[in-house]
Amino acid sequence: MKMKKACLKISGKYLFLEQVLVYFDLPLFFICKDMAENRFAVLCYDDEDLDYIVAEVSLKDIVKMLQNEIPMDVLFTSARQKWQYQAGVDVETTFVNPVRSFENEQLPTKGSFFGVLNAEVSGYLQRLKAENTVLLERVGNKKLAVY
Amino acid sequence: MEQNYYDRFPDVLKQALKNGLISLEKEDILWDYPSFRVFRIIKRKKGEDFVLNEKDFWSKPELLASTGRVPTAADECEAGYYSCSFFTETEPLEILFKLPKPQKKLAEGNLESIYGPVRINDGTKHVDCWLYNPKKLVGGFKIVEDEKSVS
Repeated sequence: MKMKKACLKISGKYLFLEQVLVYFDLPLFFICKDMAENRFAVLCYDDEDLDYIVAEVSLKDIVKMLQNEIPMDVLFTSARQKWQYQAGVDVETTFVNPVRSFENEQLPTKGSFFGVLNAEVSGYLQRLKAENTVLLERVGNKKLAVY
Repeated sequence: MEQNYYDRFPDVLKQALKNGLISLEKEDILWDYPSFRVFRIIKRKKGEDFVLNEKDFWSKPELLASTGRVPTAADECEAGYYSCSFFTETEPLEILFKLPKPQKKLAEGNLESIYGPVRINDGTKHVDCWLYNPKKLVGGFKIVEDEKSVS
């Protein structure tokens, strides 16, 4: 079996690509996961200099963004943890730095929605929704067990 | 496939083929196909004009060759990384106008076998094209719409 290659390292934790949302010559906007199943939205805001922003995001917010219920910029600005970096030669030479906020020019156009989903992203959205249902069921079962 | 077919491609792609890192001999890669219309986004820094040039059609690894840097989540063992992106429809490109760096315009033209092999993804409408010589494509493409009219 082919080992999944880490695509980013944040505070010593490796992130793995889950889904590319926008591709044009390179992955421009994509979702990564760490080993603890936390999700991170990554956006390349300068594809010449390979500059990126990263935000730790919830499954729920990714679903909302893909369903055009929240704008793309809000997915990043509302995140509790944010980072930026410039891609190096590999994961180990790519230094990701925490930031308090993002500049407007690093973000998608304010208030713009993701728009129409292609077949691949649509399939990803369905998988996320199924995962969310399983999580909700688990939470519900736990509550029943307590009371 | 003719021997040393990889010599027809630009440097980085040629090396990747030569070293066996990737292969273009796959069922879904078309080498002989009829001409078809495609679209591509052209990007410029502020103040630069939108006259098309060969660099507009270079793949990312060729552009980055001197830096050694690799885009995050790009797979150097996947042939698609060495291609130039096109789309068969304009709709999938609309999101690109909403992403940062707003100096973008839409260009259209035709791809045909003489330019290089292609792989068409029917689900995303994305076309990977491994161009033999990006310079040859420039004359056949034109800017069709500006940022405002597309977004």
